[in-house]
Amino acid sequence: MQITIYINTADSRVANKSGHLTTIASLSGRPTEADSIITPQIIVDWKPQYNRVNYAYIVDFGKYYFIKDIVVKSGGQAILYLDADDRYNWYDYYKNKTVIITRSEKIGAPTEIPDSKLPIDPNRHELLTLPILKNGAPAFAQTINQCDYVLATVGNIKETVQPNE
Amino acid sequence: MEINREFYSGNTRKITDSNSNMIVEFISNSLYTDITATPTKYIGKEWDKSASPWKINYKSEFFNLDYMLGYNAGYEEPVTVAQSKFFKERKKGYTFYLSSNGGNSFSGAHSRLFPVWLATLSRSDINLSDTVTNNWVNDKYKELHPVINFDYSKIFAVPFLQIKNEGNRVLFSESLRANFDPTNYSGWGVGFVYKNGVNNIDLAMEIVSLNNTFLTPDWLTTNCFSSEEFDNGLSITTYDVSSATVRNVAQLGERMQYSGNTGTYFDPNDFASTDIAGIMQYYPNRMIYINGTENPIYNNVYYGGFISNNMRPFRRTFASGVTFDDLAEYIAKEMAYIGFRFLVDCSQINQPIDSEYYYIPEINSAGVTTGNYYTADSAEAAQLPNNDWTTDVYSVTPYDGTDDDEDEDPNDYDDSNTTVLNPIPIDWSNDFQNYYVMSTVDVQRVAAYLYSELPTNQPANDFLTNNPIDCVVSLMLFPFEVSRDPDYPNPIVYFGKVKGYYPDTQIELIAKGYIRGQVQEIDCGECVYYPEYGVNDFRSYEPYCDAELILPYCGSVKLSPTAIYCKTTEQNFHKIGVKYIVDLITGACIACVYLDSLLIDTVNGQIGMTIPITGIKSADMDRDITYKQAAAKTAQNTALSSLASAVVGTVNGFISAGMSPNPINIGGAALNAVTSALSYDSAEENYKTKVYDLQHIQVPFSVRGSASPLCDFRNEQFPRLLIKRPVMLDYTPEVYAHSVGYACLKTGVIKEYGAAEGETPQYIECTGIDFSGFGGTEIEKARLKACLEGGLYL
Repeated sequence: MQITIYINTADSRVANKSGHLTTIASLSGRPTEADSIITPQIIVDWKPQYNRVNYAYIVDFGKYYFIKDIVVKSGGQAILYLDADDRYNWYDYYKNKTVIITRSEKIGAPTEIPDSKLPIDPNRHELLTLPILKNGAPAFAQTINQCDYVLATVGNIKETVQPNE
Repeated sequence: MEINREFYSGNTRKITDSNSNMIVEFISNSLYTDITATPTKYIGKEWDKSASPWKINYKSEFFNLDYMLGYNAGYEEPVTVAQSKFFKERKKGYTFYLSSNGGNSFSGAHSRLFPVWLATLSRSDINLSDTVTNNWVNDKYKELHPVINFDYSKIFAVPFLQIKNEGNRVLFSESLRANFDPTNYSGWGVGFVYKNGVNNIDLAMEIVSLNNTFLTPDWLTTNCFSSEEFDNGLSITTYDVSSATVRNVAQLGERMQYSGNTGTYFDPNDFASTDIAGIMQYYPNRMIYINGTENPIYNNVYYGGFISNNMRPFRRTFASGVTFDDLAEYIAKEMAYIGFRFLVDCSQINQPIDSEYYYIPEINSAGVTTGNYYTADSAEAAQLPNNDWTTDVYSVTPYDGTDDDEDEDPNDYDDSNTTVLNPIPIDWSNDFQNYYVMSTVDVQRVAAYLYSELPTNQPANDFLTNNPIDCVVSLMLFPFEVSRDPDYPNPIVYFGKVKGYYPDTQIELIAKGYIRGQVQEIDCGECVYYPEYGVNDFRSYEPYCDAELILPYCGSVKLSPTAIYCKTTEQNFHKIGVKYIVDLITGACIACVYLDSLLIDTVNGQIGMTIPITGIKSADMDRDITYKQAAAKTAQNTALSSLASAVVGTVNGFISAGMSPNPINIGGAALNAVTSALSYDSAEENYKTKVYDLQHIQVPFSVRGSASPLCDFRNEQFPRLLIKRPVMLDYTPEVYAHSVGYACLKTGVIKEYGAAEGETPQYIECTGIDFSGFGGTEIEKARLKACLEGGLYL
């Protein structure tokens, strides 16, 4: 089977790796034994210049793979231990799906949903106060002159002194 | 007299006059739930009484009914099918026999008992028996005319059953029959289980209540039914229309007779049990013999028959030449008043009952028909409570608060969300005591007065007690300006009936005023808090964020951050306000916390500080002085008197001794002198004691009130809103977002949460993907699901 080997510079979690792949070679290989197409082991003829490769594409399977390990054998061969790149392989399938987004960089800021990963200081808090004032002044007296006494006496005579004119 | 038609659930129909006196109450026969009726032979013009005529089981509640109105379609007049006489003859139990007026027999083949109303009269001056003579024009019964004179024979509405199969496919429609098996009742109280096992029934005749059925008198099945929807091998018997023996087709309730007047009515036993349609026949362009006469009364009559491609709508031409079309509106309105759902085109009987071919009456929420009607597919019909067959019109659909709940939210919210404080119902201020508002200087003057001596010209009892200090009830300090009664500025301070005065100058003691009511409201103001992280950030809410309100003199109260700032599209923030309600007599206060205009919390406290006031009990003191002065004076007089006596005695003693050469007598005289001297000393000692008492009178003090702590006065004198909010560790938001993304719960297309073309891929985690159309293996599906949930850069 034909297998193309690449150097991939993108994070493994990047979905669309086109643009991040540098083709190194196109090889002919065969499975070592009965293998899953998701994690195949392919024997190829190996050259030293292939040592930096980390990504592969198997034409027969139509899938892209991470090269998990390269085991060099005698006789100029190597076994490539591959693991399918599900994010890239099914990219066209899921990119238009409507789903529930649980975490997003694009959203730009924390939301109403509690985020246990957000680095909130577990020990410290900020304490702030807002005075409640009436027209900028406290409601109650600041000095004795702003206080009033209420004297209660027995009796019920109401007599007032008229102010001098 | 105005007639009010009312149609209640339970199928009671009332007619009242304008004074709401009930004239007639009709109860439809639909309350019958157990109907059996056995046809009898019709002999001549009378039923064979030996055979049971209509036997109707009815509920015992109807024993009190006086009349049963029906309509004998054979006669163009209403008939009291059962009269009081009849009812007296009725058997106790569940059956009674119908009779026509004047006897126990029908004068028509089938009394049209549809609709059958059981009427009870509630006014003694109306006696339906008078109507036997057809004295309908009598003004006395005019109010009954619209009901009684209603031409039921011209009802083109067809009461029918519409039987559907499990797939809601109409199998057939048929009028209610009088002889259906009562043991198979189900659904709406009409148990009709078609023998093929179909038992889902839609009762197509509108009755505004549940569990109703109509008694139809006729063995005549509906003149409309479906021939297209037959299933289960149903068949219809047809008849040779060319035969001379013509079976008349009659409208519902119509009398039918074989031509030739054999006297034999059609007998359902003529038909096969599978023939549920009975005698429905279509005679195009044929004469119809009605009433058993040879001469057709009606010509060119279309009548309903099989609902098939040959179906024609029924139309009756009256002898008077008035066509149905002219009466359509009248009839429709009367049908709507009664509460029937109706058709005007029988050929459409098989249409869905919510289609344009059906009309449903308007019934308002009180269960009263209005006479209006709407096509069943109209928007107005959809709003009517009687629109839904399967729903009890008068049941209450529970409101469950879901978005698609068609019921309105039944909660009676206060739209204003405003707290209005009650006015104080009782105000004891200034009724039994004087409550003076005073400044510090005023109080000092009062104190001076209380330490002063009693004015000599003032009777003690004018203080109403013994002393001026005893007139003082309390002195309380408030940390705000107390509201004063504007009607009494600068009042003189009275202690009992005595004016207070300034001791040195004798100037009257003046206060700032009287308190203006026992309760005073202090508005402390309000504030708004704008959360640092915004209202759409979880860090602004509990448990990450706390809020507390510090209230002087009361303590503090916890507030929910959610209550402080509401999350609306307009980002409308609440105002937090505080008001104090102070009792100026006790000094107690309530701090009221407001969210905008709504009171959300209260805290009790004490804001008035009691100041102890002391004073001399001057009256007591004066009394004490006077008494002790008097006592000293008395003691002094006694002492002086004793001294004089002692001196005299001594002189006397010595004189005696001088004049006597007896030396022994001299001793006696001396003894007398000593005795007198001793007497003087005792009196003098007593005097000295009294003087000492006078000089050491204890000043009688009195203290009013105990000191209450003024600590709160040292606290801050305004409320504070205390916010505790989280602090972030040092981090770079962009790095954080790119590494793990922000937690959210959105629905959307995956790629729309990725980067645009050519830009750095953005982090995303998602779940809930629908794997329809996935072309991989189960293992691949699981792996892909894990990848999407574990995160990817898109």
